[in-house]
Amino acid sequence: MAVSARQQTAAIIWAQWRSFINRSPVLRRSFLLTGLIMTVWYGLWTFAAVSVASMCATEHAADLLDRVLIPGLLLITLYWQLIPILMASSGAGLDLRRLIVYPVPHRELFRIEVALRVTSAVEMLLISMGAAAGLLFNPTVPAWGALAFAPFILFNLFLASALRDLLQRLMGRKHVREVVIFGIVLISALPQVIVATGISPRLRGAFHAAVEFPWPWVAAGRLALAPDALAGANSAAALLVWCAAAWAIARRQFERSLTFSAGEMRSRERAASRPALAEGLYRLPSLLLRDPLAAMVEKDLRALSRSPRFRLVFIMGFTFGLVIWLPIAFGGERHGWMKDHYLTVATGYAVMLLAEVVVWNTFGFDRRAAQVYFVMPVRLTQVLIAKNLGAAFFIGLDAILITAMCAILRLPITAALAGEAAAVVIVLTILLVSIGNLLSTRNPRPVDPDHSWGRTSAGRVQAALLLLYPVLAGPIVLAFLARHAFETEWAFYGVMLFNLAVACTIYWIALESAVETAHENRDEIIGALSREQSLVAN
Amino acid sequence: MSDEQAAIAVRDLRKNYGNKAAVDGLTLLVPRGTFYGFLGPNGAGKTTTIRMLMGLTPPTSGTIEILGLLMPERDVEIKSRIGLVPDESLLFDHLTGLEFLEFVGRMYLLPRGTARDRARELLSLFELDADTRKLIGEYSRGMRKRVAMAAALIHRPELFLMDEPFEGVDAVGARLMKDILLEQVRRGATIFLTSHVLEVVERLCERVAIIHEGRLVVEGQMRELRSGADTLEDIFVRVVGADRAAERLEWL
Repeated sequence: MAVSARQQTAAIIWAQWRSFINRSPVLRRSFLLTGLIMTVWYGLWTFAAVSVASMCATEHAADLLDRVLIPGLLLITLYWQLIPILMASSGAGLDLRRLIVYPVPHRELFRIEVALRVTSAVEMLLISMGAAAGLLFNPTVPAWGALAFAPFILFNLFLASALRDLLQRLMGRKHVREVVIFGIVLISALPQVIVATGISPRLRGAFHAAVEFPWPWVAAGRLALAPDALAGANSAAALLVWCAAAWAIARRQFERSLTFSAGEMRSRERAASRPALAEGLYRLPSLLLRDPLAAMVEKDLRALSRSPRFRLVFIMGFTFGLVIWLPIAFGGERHGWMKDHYLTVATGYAVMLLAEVVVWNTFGFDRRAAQVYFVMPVRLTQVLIAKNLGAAFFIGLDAILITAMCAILRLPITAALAGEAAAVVIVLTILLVSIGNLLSTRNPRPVDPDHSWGRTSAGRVQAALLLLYPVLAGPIVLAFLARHAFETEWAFYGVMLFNLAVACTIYWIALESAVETAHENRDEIIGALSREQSLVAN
Repeated sequence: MSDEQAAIAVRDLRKNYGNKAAVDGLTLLVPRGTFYGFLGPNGAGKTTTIRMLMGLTPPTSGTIEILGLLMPERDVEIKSRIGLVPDESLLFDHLTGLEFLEFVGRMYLLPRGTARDRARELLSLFELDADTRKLIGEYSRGMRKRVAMAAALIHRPELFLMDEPFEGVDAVGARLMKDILLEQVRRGATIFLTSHVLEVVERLCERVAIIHEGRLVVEGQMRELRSGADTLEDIFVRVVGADRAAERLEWL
């Protein structure tokens, strides 16, 4: 590599490092603390690498190595691939497309990209080198044992580069970003589903067959411990094929990412898209309400449905919400409260999910545009009611979709269950928007509707919710207890009717209070919403 | 003027997005050492053109020669001799102004010490040194433009490509930027800028080109174009066909 390329690579790695550190306001301000944390963190990994080296160098550890080397290499691969994906999905890390304007030779850019993948998983490089060093000094392991790590490391670097580029491009495309994040969320729910439902014998068989396949970590492990050259040749060939394939994919993804422009893609997608089918849905409030209320509700329906962050939560409501409760309700005993009231639980959970984006910080997505509510000839009461109606619309839609999904999945759905779920959703929604209006005018913060990750409401609001949810659930629990005690549906609906009256009263009182607060704190609200969303908070 | 004498020589440049031509057969010669204004209404193809000149977007067809060198064949050499004030998307939000300027200096292969010293001096010149710990992502729009301008100057380029450099910059900052740019032209640099502020272009630029719907509609010396009492705004409105008296809304 030429001196100029080395200097530029060093500058880019330094910038990547600074960008990473700067994401934490504490680390950004304290050089000492940064140094201390880094020393401890990498010190621990160095210690782990030395321990791995010592274990691999032990003469009598053949059995242990047989058992742990391949799973260990799999873990290394997972870590190596996961970190760049997380960095890409959270917007961390340098975007190499921004470097095209600098005088860096094109061929060097790919090398820099691969070099950056080293820096994003230095920990795994340490562990791999520790294992390689250990095997090198182990007299029972042949000389090529340590060499197996070189192609294995290269494979991981290329694959990490390919995955990151691919993901970054996908994230720039309409709807795909939500699907990717949704996939990650569903994967995170997988362990719970497996624990609750167990693994079927067929799946177990497929898993055992997959273990025998010469995956890169399997090939690297077998090569490292191969008793003779012949046995190692197959694994070496497999590993080299994996390496070449990863390089080819990484190279292609990199070239495509360099010329990819999310802005261009979006404008093409916009040009190609037909008038939205949802247009009729957006116009619905105008049929039922009068302006300016109808105009404000309609605006919120349009704006929210175009926000990737909202769309993700909305989709999660009738999918993830179902998946997460399914094993708990149907995994164990044949009859249980959860199973009998599954629809109510799932819809209640969806309401709480949606509350995060449409209730607790109701002006968040408007950001600085929220000041129009203070300059236009509308009453703030109307503004908050419009916001609440918009929220109620989507909550209702999510509840309908959950019911439809339950019907499709042939889960027990009856008119009584649907009525129960509807009653709970109505009361819960009114209570939530009552509190939401108060919190929205007291703790507003701007939220980027294009960011799929991250909290929407302020930290203190999140803390308050931990206390609020049990309190808000109280009246609903009371209705269920009444049904249990009196053994009649009338008791349930009687209490729920009472709850509805109380909730409506609370709503009007809270609304008045919120409007009063909004008038008093007008400057603070506009100021808070006009601030750029903190980079670090995301 | 031959292509070698031109700072920028563009021939039959085209950029298509699907069936739509953002730039449609643009031919342009920008003489060296001039302050050149590149104007057009919104969506005319200015930013697409400047992105092609910067090497950010490959053209669909046509040739680009910058400082006598062909793009993209000699792109590294070209890039090392130009300074860019692009749209805001090319700034690194998680770096401070000082870190970003030092990074840019090093990317142009300045010795690390020089890059750091110049970064400090530029930060001070552009009055961005009040809070050196502030991240670029936390900068106001005007501050972002100023840091982008500082970055464009750090390696003393021969040609500046600037996309709306004064957008969002306050009067004091804009005056400072204009003075610096005029000084650069005096030392022989070429400045190619797009701007919607026609008064600024009128005052600074010796030559202007106006594009509309991806095509060049006017090009020439500012004083020749402004024959009679016409202002640049009059010319602009006339050539892009914005005289819409007949279309005015009745209720207005």
